[in-house]
Amino acid sequence: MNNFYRAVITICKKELFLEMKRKETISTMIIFSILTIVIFSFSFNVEQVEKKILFSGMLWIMIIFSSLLGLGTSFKKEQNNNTLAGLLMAPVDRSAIFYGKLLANMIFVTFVELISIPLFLIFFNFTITENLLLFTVFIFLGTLGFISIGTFLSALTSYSRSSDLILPVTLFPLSTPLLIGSVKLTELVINSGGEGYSPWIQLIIVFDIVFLIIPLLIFEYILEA
Amino acid sequence: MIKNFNNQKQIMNIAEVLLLAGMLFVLYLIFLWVPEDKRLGIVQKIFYFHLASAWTAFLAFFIVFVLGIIYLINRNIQIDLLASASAEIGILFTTLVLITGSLWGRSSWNVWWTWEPRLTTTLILWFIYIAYFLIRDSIEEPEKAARISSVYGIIGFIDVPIVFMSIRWWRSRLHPVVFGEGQGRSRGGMDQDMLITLLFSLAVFTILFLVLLHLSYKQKIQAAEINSIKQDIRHQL
Repeated sequence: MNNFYRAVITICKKELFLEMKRKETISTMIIFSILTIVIFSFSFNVEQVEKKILFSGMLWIMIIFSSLLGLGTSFKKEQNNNTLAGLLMAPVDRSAIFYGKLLANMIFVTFVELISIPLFLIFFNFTITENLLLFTVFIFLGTLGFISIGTFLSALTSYSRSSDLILPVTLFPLSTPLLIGSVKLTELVINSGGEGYSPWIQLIIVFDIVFLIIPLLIFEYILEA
Repeated sequence: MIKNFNNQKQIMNIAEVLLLAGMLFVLYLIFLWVPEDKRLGIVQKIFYFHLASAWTAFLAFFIVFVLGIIYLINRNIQIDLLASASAEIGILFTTLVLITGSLWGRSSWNVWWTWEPRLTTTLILWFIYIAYFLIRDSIEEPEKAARISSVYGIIGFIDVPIVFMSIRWWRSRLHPVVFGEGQGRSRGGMDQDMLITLLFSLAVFTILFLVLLHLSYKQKIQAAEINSIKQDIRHQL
């Protein structure tokens, strides 16, 4: 177990190191997030519409679309120099690769969110003073679920000729429960101070747990030499 | 091998005759025998096709799930071909569910589409299994395609109940509870004759599914054989 844990950390560190050297994924994700904000302001006429109605939907669209950019390259980049073969040769359980990547993706996306969500609030002139903690927890749980299933599908689609096209097509339908739950929770926090959230939070936690545990059982079948 | 094939052929002939007779009988039950619904009128008869298609689609996807697990254990490529045949028929019947549901919805709810839990879940189900083929067809080596689509078939099926629960919470319900405890009723909302017709319809759709599954499977096996022959020829050239 200790060995497994070390492997996860090592793979995560490798991802972080690569990203610190190249800086391309995170910077693209941040720029893309800001671009979505601009597109929203053009297409929804946000000045006049009741912002509370649109807010949580727009927020999650921004998070999901920018995360998608990072997820797409997560496993695909291992194929350029066939570095995947190196990873597979490591004498650890294959699922360690998944959890390492998951941790790294989670760090990337959280970092992007720390910049993009405040910007989102500033651009749309929105303040969240009460329930900030609850808001943060909901964003975290939603992101965690999306990144777990996203990392899994990123590995799954990496063998495909057109993985960039296939990933969103598989990811969006499978993550419907998570999207519904996250949007609802954020909406509840903004509009009613978070009352009546318990079914949604149960839903998201169940989803998070299912897609954090399934890879442990099944991930080794995806990556086979 | 050839003897086995003949046996299969005999069973299939029997199944096809049974299917034809069953279809005619169910059509008789639906259009001539069973009484019309008091409130919904003749349109309600689409229900026997609608629900049976939904059942068949669900059965097909369940088979994809089970065969996915079996494939990952024994790595028999034929199992995977059978799974993909089942997924294909599942998509066909899901499409039928969406079309018949839409027609029925137009006449009884006065809209072609509504974002009601079961409708929405069916639509998501359709997307999930369309993606099954998108992944499958975009991977070159058959072994890899089989492995990846097995994993996807398992994940997709596990996701379906969660999708359904989430959408159910998201939208209130319009569908009546057909079996078991209904709202304010002790035993669902179904007449005896209608139940009999429905059960026959389910049985015939299941036989139809099995016949189609067999045909599609045979076609896929032949396609795989042709592909391997083609590759042999290419090697020799």
